[in-house]
Amino acid sequence: MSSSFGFTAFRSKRQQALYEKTFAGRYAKNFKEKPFLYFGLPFLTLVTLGQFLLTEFYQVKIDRDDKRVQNINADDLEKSLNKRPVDLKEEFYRLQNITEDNKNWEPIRVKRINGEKDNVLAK
Amino acid sequence: MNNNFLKQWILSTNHKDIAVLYFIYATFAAMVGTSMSMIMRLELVHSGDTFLHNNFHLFNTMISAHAIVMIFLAVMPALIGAFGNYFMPIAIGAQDMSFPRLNNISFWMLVPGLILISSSMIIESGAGTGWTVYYPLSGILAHSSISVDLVIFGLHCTTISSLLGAINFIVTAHNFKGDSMSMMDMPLFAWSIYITAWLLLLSLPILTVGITLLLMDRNFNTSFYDVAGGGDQMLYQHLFWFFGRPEVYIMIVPAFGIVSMVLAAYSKKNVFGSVSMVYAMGSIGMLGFIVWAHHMYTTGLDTDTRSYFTSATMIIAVPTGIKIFSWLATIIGGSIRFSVSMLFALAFLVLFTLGGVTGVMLSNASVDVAFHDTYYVVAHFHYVLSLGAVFGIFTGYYYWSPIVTGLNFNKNLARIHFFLIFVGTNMTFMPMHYLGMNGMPRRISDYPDSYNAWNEISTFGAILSSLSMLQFAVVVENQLSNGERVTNDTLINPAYTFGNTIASETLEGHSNNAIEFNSPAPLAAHMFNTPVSKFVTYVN
Repeated sequence: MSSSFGFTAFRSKRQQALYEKTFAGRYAKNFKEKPFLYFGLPFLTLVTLGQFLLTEFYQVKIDRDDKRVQNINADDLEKSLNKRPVDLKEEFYRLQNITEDNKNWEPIRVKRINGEKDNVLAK
Repeated sequence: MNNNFLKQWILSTNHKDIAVLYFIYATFAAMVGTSMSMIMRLELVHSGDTFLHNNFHLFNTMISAHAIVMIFLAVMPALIGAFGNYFMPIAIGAQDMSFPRLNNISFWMLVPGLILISSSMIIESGAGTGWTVYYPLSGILAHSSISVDLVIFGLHCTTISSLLGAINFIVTAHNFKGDSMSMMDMPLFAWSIYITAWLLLLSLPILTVGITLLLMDRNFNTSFYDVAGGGDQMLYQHLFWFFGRPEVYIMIVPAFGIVSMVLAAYSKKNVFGSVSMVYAMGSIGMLGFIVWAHHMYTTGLDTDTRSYFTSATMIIAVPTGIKIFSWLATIIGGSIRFSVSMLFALAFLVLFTLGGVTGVMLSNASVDVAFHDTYYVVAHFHYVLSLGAVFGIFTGYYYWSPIVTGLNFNKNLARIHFFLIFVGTNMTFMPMHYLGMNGMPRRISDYPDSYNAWNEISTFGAILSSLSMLQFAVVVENQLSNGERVTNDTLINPAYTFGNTIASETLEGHSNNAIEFNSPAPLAAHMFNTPVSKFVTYVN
C-alpha cells in the first residue's frame, strides 16, 4: 500500500530513463514542470463542461417524466376507469334535482350502543 | 491605560497580535451564538410552549441572530481572521501582511458589527427575518422596527472588514512571497486562504448591493423589491444567494487547508496530490459562483433552469470527492498519531463527507421540493459547517496553539473536549435528518407531538455541545495559566510537517519543513526582516 499513495518508488537511473519514455513517465515529467497546462486546465475545463453535459442527462429525466404526464389525457383516463360519460351541464341539473329532494328530511335519533351515554339531560 | 498595551492590542499592525485579537473575538461571538442555539433548542425540547412563553417572534430573532453571529462573527473571524492572519504570512515566508494598517482596520470594523447585530436582537422586537433577510418579510411593513436596519449596518461592517482582509491576503500572496517561491510552491493552507480571499472579494459586494437596496426600500421609498412599485422581490433572493453560496465555501475552504496540514503532519506523509488539492479548492470556489439558484428551487424557476442548477451543483461533488480521496490516500500507509488535532481532523473527514452526501441529495431539484425548508436542510448545513468548519477551527487550535502561546495544552482535557463536542453535535444534528424526512419545518418554534422523541434527543445533544464549549474554555484557561512550556527540544512536534518547502531547504537536517515548527516557540512577534528565500539549490 505504501508504495502507491504519496511515496515515490525508487528507480535506478536506467529504470528512470525507461520510465520517462512511457506515457505515464512523460506525463509525470510534464506535470511537474507545467502543472497548470497538464492538470489545471484540463481539470477546470472538464468540470465546467461537465455541468452542461450533466444538464442534458437531467433534462432527459425531466422530459421522460413530462411525457408520462402528457400520455394520459382525460378521455383515456375516463375510458380506462370505465366511468359514465360526464357532461358539465347535465351534472349541474342532476345536482339541482338532488338538492330539491333534500328538503324532505328530519333528524332521527339512532339507537345508542350498549353502555354508551345517551347525553340526554332530562327525560 | 498602559501605553504599550494600547500600542500592542488596539493600534497593532502586527499580523500575529491582530490574529490573536480575531481569535478572542471569534470565541466570544461563538459563546453568544451557542447561547442563542441553546435558547432555540430548549424551546424545541417538547411540542407546545416550553421556554419562550409563546413569544414566537423572539424565537425567530434567535434563529436569525444565531446564524449571523456564527457565520460572520465566529467562523469567518476564526478561520480567516485568526488562522489566516497568523499563519498565511508565515507559510509563505513573509514578514507580515502587505497592508498592516488595513489589517488593523479589518479587525476593528468587526467590533461595531457585533454591537450592531447584538443590538438588533434587543431593540424593539428584533429582526425575525432569518439570516437571509428575505423581502418582503424584511420590508418595512413586516418589520417596522429599526432592528432590520441594524442588521444591515452590522453586515455592512463585517463586509468592509472581510473585503479589506481579502485584498490584504491576495496582495500578500502575490507580493510578499520570497522571489524563489512560485504560486505552486505555496503550502496548501496558504492556498486555501488565497482562494477564500478571492471568493470574499467577488461575492461580498453583491451582498452589500442586495442589503443596501433593501435599506433604501425600507427607508427611502424606493421599490427595488416592492412589486407594487414595479420592483421584483426575486431580485433580492438572486442577489443574496449569489453571495450566500460562495459564503459557504468561504467558511469551509480554510478548514480544508488546516485539515490537509494536520492529516499530513500526523500521518508523517506528504499530502497526496497537493496540486490536485489546489485545483479542487479552486474549482469548488469557481463552481460556488454558478450554483446559487439551488437555494431557490421552490420559487417557481422553470425546469430548464432547475436542471442546469441541479447538474452544476452535483458537479461540485467531483472536486470535493477528489479532496476526500486525497486525504484518505494521505492517511493510508502513513504512521498515524492520534493527537487531539488529528482526532478533530479525522472527525472532520467523516462528518464533512456525511454533510456532503446529504448535500448531493438536496442538490436534486425534484427531491428538494420535498426537503426544502425542513430540518433535513438544517441537518445538512450543520454537518458541513458546525461539524465541518467548527471542527476545522479546533483542529487548527490544537495544532498551532502550542507554538502561538509557547504553552502546551492538557491533552486529557482536550480529549474530553473532543469527545463532548463529537457526541454532542452528532446527537444534535443526526436526529434532524429524521425529523426533516418526516416533514418537520425549520424556523418554526412548535410542532406536532409525533416529533417529540427526536427533538428531545436533539436538545440533549445541544446541552452536551454547550458543555463542550465550557470544556474548551477550561482547556484554554488551563493552557494559559498552567500549561507546560514548549521548549526547543519539544518543538519538533509533530515529527513531520508539510509546509513551506523553501524554508525546509534553508534549514537543513530538519524532517520538519513548516517554518512555524522550525522557529522557537512562542513565535517571535517579528520573525524575519526579509521574505524567506531559497539559499540552497534543491536537487530532486
